[in-house]
Amino acid sequence: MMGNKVIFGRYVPTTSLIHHLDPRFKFIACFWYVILVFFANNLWTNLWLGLVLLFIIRLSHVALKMYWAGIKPLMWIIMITAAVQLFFSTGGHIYWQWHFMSITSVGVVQSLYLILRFAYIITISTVLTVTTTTLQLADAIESLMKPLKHLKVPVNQIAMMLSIALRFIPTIMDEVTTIMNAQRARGMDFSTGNFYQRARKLVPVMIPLFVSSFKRAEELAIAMEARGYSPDGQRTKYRLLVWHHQDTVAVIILLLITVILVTLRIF
Amino acid sequence: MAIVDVHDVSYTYPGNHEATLKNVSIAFNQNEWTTIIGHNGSGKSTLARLIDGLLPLDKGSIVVDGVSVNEDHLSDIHQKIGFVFQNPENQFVGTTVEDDVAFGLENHQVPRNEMQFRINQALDDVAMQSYAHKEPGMLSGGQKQRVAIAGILSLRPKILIFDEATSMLDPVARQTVLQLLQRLKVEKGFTIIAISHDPIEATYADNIVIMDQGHVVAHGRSTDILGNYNLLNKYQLILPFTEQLKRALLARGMQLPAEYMTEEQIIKWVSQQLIFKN
Repeated sequence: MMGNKVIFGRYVPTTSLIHHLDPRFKFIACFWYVILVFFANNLWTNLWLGLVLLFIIRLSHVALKMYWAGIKPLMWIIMITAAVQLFFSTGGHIYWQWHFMSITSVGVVQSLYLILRFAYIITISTVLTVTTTTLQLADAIESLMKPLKHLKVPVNQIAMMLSIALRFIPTIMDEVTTIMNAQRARGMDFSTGNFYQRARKLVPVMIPLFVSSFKRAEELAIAMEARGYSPDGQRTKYRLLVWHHQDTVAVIILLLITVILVTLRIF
Repeated sequence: MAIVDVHDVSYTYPGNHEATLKNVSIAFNQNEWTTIIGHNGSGKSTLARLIDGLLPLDKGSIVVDGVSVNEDHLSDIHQKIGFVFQNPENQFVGTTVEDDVAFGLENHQVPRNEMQFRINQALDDVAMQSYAHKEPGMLSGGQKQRVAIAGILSLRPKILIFDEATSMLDPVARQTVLQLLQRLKVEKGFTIIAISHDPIEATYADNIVIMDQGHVVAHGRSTDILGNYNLLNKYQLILPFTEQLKRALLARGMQLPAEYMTEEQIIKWVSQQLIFKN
């Protein structure tokens, strides 16, 4: 039904502590963690970040296989990047050499860290998406973009676009299914042929989809106008994000995690 | 008393040669339900959009509840008129039912602390309160249309316009929505303007307007118009079921009252005849 199954896994409704945190905090904390990942340069810092991540996963009450499902589709990219790192790094003890390729002790360690980095970043993003609804995420982004208003960025319009886009993803998905079924009923076979042939077969799906989407957009615009929407007008807001005590505690914990990481890096 | 007064209005869509509306003058009475019927291209939707200020007026004037419809009063007009469109999917703006009802309130800058009450009240009026947190994908067409009605009720309008709002619904959902409107009209004193192809929908109205090729060709009490076989036949409008039955009975040489009869009335009449005959 919802369209947020593209990457990184979809929302899993449990009532964990992580679910109840403010989406703005979760959004920033996720970015913060990614930055921390790039600070981790030795065994202890990497272990520390791994431990933190395991703890968060435990708190989220979401099954481990959901997180694995987030990593799996990106496995190839991780492996290829790690292989490049492994064969082309220099330094330390040389185990094996062939022309310009070599496996060195530094290379082995570096590629292992690289795999960890990828895994950490993907998993923390998955934590964000499985514990936060797309609607909450959109609200968080809107709220975090507010300061940009001073730079004349049309934050309200962007937020409205984002929320309407989210609203219409399932509708458009349904439409794609309907159009494809209509084409199948007339003998179209979408599942055979090479990549190029298959892509060509999508043209007769995309054209009616575009036409109907434009028609939809026009009707929606009139309906919005009839209900008093004006893009430049002032609006009040129904959905509020409320900052709780637990969010303040979470900020303190995040700072602690950072301090420990920095300490581990220095010593 | 007329709450909507349309005076000598003409409208041509940009790029068209022929006018869609030609010197239309019509008044809609307060607290009454008027249904506009007519074929595609007769100009009925255009008229409704002009009344709500959704199209710029070419010629003529429209006054809604004492406010003349023009650029300066659009916000006021949109607050006085609640407009429900044909396709339930394409007027659902919010990500959930309550968000959709809130959309209009946010636009009209209703304070946050007042919203919850108005949303609950509006959803209660259309019996959709238990769906407040549902996503549009989980609702049927009729339910979405009821949410659309709740969305406009929350703005406390005086006039409701329905532009073929039941045409994409199944017969049961259509009945539910029409009965809901009937109840709201009586309980809250709304003025209703409905646009329709459907003779069943026309039977709910107090007044009927027939439009043809940009002109108003008939306007009167619905009992008179729906009972006027020659008029409906002239504009090739489908007769309501009870009228079809009346024609069939007349053809068999029975004597029937000339005005329009509801289903209950005709059942009563037929049973009386049967008792009389025995």
